[in-house]
Order: sequence, then structure tokens, then C-alpha cells
Amino acid sequence: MLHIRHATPLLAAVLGCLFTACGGETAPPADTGDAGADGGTAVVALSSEPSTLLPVLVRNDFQQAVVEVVYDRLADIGPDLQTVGDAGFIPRLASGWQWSADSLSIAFALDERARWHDGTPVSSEDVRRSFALYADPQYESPIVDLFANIDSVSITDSLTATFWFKRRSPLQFYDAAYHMFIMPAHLLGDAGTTELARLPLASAPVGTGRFHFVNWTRGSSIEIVADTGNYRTRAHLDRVLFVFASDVGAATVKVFTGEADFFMPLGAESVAEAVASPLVNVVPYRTLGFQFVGFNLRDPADPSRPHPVLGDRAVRRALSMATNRERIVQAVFDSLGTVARAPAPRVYLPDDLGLTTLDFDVAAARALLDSAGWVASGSDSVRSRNGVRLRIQVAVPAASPNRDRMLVLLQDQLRSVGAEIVVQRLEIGSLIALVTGRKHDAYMAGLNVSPGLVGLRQNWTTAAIGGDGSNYSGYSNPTFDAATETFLTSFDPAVIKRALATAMQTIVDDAPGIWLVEELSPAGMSTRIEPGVLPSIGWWHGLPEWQIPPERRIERDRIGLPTSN
Amino acid sequence: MSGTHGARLAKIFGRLAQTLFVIWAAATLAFVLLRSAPGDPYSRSLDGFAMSEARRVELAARRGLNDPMAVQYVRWLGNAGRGDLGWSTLYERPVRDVLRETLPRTLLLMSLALGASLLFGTLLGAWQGTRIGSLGDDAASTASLLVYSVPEFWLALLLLQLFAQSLHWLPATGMVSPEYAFMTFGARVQDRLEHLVLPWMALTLVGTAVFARYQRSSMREAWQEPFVRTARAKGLHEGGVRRHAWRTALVPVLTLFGLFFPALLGGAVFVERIFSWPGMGNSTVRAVTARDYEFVTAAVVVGSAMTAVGSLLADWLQQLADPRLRT
Repeated sequence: MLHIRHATPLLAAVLGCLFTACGGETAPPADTGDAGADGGTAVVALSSEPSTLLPVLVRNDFQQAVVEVVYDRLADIGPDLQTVGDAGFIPRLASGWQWSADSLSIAFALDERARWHDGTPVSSEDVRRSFALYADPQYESPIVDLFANIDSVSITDSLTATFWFKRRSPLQFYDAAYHMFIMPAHLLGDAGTTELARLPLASAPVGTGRFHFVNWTRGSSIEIVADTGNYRTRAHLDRVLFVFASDVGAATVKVFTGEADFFMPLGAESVAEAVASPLVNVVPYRTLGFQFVGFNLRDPADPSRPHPVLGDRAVRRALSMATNRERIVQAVFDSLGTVARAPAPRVYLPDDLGLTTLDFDVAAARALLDSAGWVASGSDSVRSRNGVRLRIQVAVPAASPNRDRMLVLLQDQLRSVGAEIVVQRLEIGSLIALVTGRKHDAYMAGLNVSPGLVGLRQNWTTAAIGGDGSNYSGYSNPTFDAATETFLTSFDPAVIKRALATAMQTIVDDAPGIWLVEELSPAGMSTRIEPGVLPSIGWWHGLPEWQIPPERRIERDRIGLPTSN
Repeated sequence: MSGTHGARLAKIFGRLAQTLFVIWAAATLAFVLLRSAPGDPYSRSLDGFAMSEARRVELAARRGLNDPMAVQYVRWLGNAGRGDLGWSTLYERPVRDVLRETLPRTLLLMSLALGASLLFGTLLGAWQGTRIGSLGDDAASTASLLVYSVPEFWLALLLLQLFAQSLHWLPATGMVSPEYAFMTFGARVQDRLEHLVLPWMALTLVGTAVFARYQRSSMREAWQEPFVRTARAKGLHEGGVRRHAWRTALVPVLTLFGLFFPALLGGAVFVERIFSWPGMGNSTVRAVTARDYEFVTAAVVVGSAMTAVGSLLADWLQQLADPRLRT
């Protein structure tokens, strides 16, 4: 029998665990200084906990959301999302810059008012060390290749760092100013450190951003507060608490119950509930992404040969024309999506580009297949040619309800022209292995494009087939390659525009995929908050501008303030 | 005397060896299976993240992931033998540090749920066992069967919907509120307990139903044993009779206790996911998806060790309840 005297130590142990080992350390309230008209605490739910807050190791949005508001870049991309030259950039840690006469170096002048959150003045040595960590392969930066065109960074004086380039490129400024967050050299430890994740800075970041880091309670939350003396003026909110959920569903629940003020993206199944909720506003958020069905144009069994079905351009065009994308988008996303026109979001495809898309036309699709020799035989409605059936296996992530729904509709629509679509639901790791190993027929995925479409080369050109590239379709067209190269290397805006038009029209005509939807990711936001804008480049860019009007503040908005407030 | 002592020692060592073998076999299986699955911790994503294939291969090589599996296995075994569980590629920290944080949270939840399930289940079952066929017994049996037949995750979702989303009585997710660090001591206690209620209830309701059903059945059998009639005939009061019968009826339930441990661990994984409880189960699910080999293998070691300890604890409790088993 378990007597009470035996149970007491057990109870004590449980209670002890409840308040010590299980909870992690807690920090005392941080004083945010003068609250004034600004103020309030926003609780932002993340569907996963960041693993590190060291900018150089950032690999996903959970990390990016925190790092982006604690650290600064030398310059940021402006609202028009242009990356060519320096005209579209906004000064951040660099207050100005000077190109050399041969355009092979840029000297960045740092803002003399800028201070690290520990009070140390920012210096050009910080820029030099940050570059070393990002670009030197001995460290663990996953994006080391993005700095391939930068030869070195030298220190001109304590507030001037000069970037030296190997060759001229329209993206020189973008490469130097945007990919890298500047980290404090005095906190980066010995130069020999290769396991960067072990640095104290990885769990307690010290940046120059408009919020400064306060505390990270593992498994629970990260707290940042407004840097009241920031050189770029303080953020409007007093405090942001990033709280962690185990997945999208759990994070959504946090918003519905009022435990969190913001989460992005809400699942499609939650949007109706969010619209009906008095606590939540649904804010459509246009990302730089689109969803598509990517075809493999090469034979999975022997990549030196064309795919027996999808290697035929006529088949790909017919499948695109047989897809009623408007109906799919309407059925799955309602007003939270628009039909994708090409492998680029509309923000980069102005109307005067003159792009002609493959519109929905079942009769034309059938005629195209007939003329290419794909015919239905006997009682079987599925077409075939030379004994090869028009049968395509489309791989899709197992836990992706929207893609599942789209695929069911697509299956139905393509059946009407005699194409059989077989759905292959795979765990995400298996799907990635299948596609990156080029063992697929087709796959349904989303692609978030880089600002300025600089990823076009890596995703769709001939050079990106196999090896280091991400051209998983094996798409190859010299016209597209040449136009993309011109687009990415020209300095002349008119030439850039013409090249983009040619590249986009070529790839749309060749149809290495069916461009389905540009999703307006719905964000669930508390009605307490006035968000201002949610920039396409990352909603977190707008976080310092969020406001909670005084009349909408609740108990948690008074955190850290004197009780009289 | 020395013969008995030697036999006992041999039994202890035998049991220990058996336990170690089980842990080793489970860890080895996890090691091989996860590495045989497609992908690796540095797999490139399909959504546009710009890590080149060359960089991916290089980063994987730094962690020895490009070595033959046998080489990796020997290295892992050597490190594990020295207490080094490796580096978590997902959490970017030593595996030991992550487990040190997450394991106590899972143990807290499990121990509270297990203790409560055992207590409530045996009490309810024993009460039913002495009133077979009564209205109370029928009602309790129906209720426990209903809960017993419901998967833990579904029950958890139901509780969350009812008490957190609809009634707003309890917090939905996490271990503490975002404002926890700014609360007074009393408010912190309340906050912790409130966050514990729903995940604890999800696990405890199912556990209680399981134990109650076994306890009812064994109590019913014990209640018909001759020693019960003898005790009554000797004039022992009804409470004493029940206590005697319950002690006998407890042995099969304690056997179940050992078997229930791994089931509870599995259930805790789902419950942790649903309530965003930052425990080992939740972390392991993420680690499996991210192909964090070393963390998953370590979690399997810990899980199988917990199961073995549960089994040993069940044996000890059985002997405590029935002195005839102490040989």
C-alpha cells in the first residue's frame, strides 16, 4: 500500500518539477521605458520553436521572424521589391554608400548613431566579421554560395566597410547588403569557432534592430522589447512575445482563444471560423510564392532520355489547357487566391509585359493530344501512344489538405481529356528525396521566389539540371536560358523587362508545369492590433509598425509598466 | 541462505542484462530504420530555400552522415557508451541538453497521469467489482467503455474544443501563459496548474478507464474466493473484507501497470502535439520529420529505458501487493 508518508516526497518532487526543472528559467520583467502613445504587447504564435537565433544559421521562417527584428542589414529592399543596382534599397545600418569608378567595390558608411543592444558602438569590423561567417565555407552558413561574387570586405575606417567584387553584376549591391545581417564582432568569439550554434549569441542575440532581445524560455516563448533609444526610432509596440505551438493547428487555436494576437498562415479550414470570430481579423497576406504542378521532362529511369509522357511538349501544353485553374482556385481558396500566370508572382509580371498564358480550352487540349498521336483505345478512356499510357503519378505531401483538394479537382479535369492522374501521397522527407533525386513523374509544390526573381537561374535553366541546381523538371530551352541570363545580368531597365517577357513567355509556352495559384495566405490577427502593412517580403518586416491603440489594450499590454498605468 | 542470495543476485543481473539488451535493440533498430528512410538532416527543401547541393553534401559530411552506416553506427555506439548522445541537427544543440529540458516535462505529465489513472481506476474498478450488476456498476462500465474506445488524440481534441475554445475555462496550449514571467508567485502556480489540466485529463481519463475495467474484473473474481467467505464467517467487518479482496485483486492490475507504461508514452506523444506541450514526445515527432538522427535515436533509448523501468516498477509493486511473489 502506498502510505501518505511515501506519497509526500513524491508530491514534493512533482511540485518541485512543476516549478523548476520543467519550466526553464524565467526572467524578471524588462523595463520598456517610456510607454507614451506607443505601447502594448503583441503575442505572435509560431508553429514551431526556432532552433537558433544566430542570423548566419537561419534556415526557416520561425528563426527569420525573430532575427529580422533584432538585427539589421546594411540596406533593405524597398516596397517595389527591385534588386537591380541600389536604387530600390532603403538604408539601414549603412546610412550611405559609394561605388568605385570601376563599380567593382562599394564602400558602406555605417550610421554613426547605431549601437548594439549592449551599448557598444557599431563598427566596420562588425561588417567584416559578419561577412567572414556568412561567406567562409569553414563555418556552417547554409547560404555561403550567395556570396560567391564578393571577393573580400576591407575596413576603410571604423565606420566604413568596403566590399570588393569579382565581377560587375546588377546584383552586386543586393548580394552585399541584403543576404547578411550584421552581427557584433565583439561577441562572436574566437575566429577558430566553427560550431557557431554553440556561441552564446545563438541563444541570446544582441543586434541593432528596433527590438532588443530579452529572454528565451525554451519550449515556451521568446521575449523582445522595443529598443527605446534605437537609431531608427523605437518600434511602436512595447513588447513582442513569440510563443511556440507544435503545428499550424495548435497555433491557430492560440489565436482563436486569445492566447496569441497573430498567426500566419491560418489553415483554409479555419478561415470561416476566424471571419466569424469577434476576436480575430483575417488579413490576406500576399507572399512571393505560388503553387504549381512540376513535370519531370526526363525519364526517371534514364535521365538521358525524355520522359515517355511528359517529355512531349504537346502533352504538357494540353494538360495545362485542360486545367480549369480558375475553378480550382475558386473551389479551394475562394477569394484567398489568384490564378498563377507563370513561374513568378504577379508583382513581377506587370500587364504591359504582354504575357500570353495557356488558357482553359478542353477542345483545343483534346485536339492537341489527337494531333500528337495520343488516342483513346477500346473501352479505356485513357489515351495512349505506341503502347505508353497517358498516366502521370503526381507526388504530394501527405499532410497538405489544400494541395490534396487541388489534386482531386485536377484529377477530375484531366480525366476529361483522357489523362490519368495517380496521386502519390508522401511524407515530406520522402517527397523531397524523390524529387531532388529526379525519380518523379510530377509533383505538386509551392515555390517562394527570391526578391528580384534571382532564383530563376537556379530553378529553371539548363545549367541547373542536376548537381547544384534546383531544376527538378529537367526543363531546358536555350531561348529561356539566354533571356534569363540577360534578365539577371543587364543594367538597362528596358532590356531587363524585354528579357523577362521573353523568358516568361518561353517557359509558359513550354509548360514544364501547370502554374496553379498565388495564394493570399490568410493571417489571423487580433482585432486589438492595427497591423499597418504585412510586406510581401516577410510579414515580420512590418512588426515594428504594428500598433495597439490605448483603448484596446488589455492586462498583458501593461507588462513592465508601473501599476498606476 | 547464501544460495538464496546468489539466486537473487543472478536474477537481478539477468533482468538488468535483459533490460540493456532491449534498450540496445530498440536503439539499433531506430538507428538503422531512420537512416534507411529517404532524406537526411540537410535535405534541400522544394520551396526555394537557396542551399546548394554541394553545400548540403559538405554540411552532411561534417556530421559524418556520408560515411557508411556501419561506420556511423560504431561511432554512435562508442559515443553513447561514453554518455555522449550526439548533436541535434534540428535543435542545433547537444542532444543531452534538449533531453534535459524536454524529458522532465514528459515525465511530469506521464507520472501525474499514470498515478491518477491507477488511483482512480483501481478505486472505481474495486467499487464496481463488489457491486456487479448494480445500476452504478452498469453506468460506470458504460462510461469507462466509452472512454476506453476513444483514441487519446480525439479525446484531447474534444477537451480542447470544449474547455478552451468554447467555454474559455482553461488555456488551450503550452505549459505556461506568455505573460508567465511577469506573474506573481501565486499566479504562476495557478497558471501552471491550469495548463496542466487538459493534457493531464486527456491521458488520465483513458488510463482510468483501462485500469477500472481490469480492476473490476479481478475484483469480481476475488470477491467470490473462499477466503472472502471465511473472512466474513470469522466476523471481519465489511471494510476489512473489501481490503483483503482488493489486495488480491490488485496483482493483475499492477501487471497491467507495467504494460501500460509504453502505451502511455505513445499517447503522450499525441497529447503533447495537440496541446503544444513542449515535452520529449513533441520534440521527437519534429525530429523524425527533420531526420534528426541522433535526437531520435536518443529519444528511443530514453523511451525504451522508461518502459523497462516501468516494467521493473510493476514487478516491485506486485511483490509488494502479494508476498507470495517474493522468491
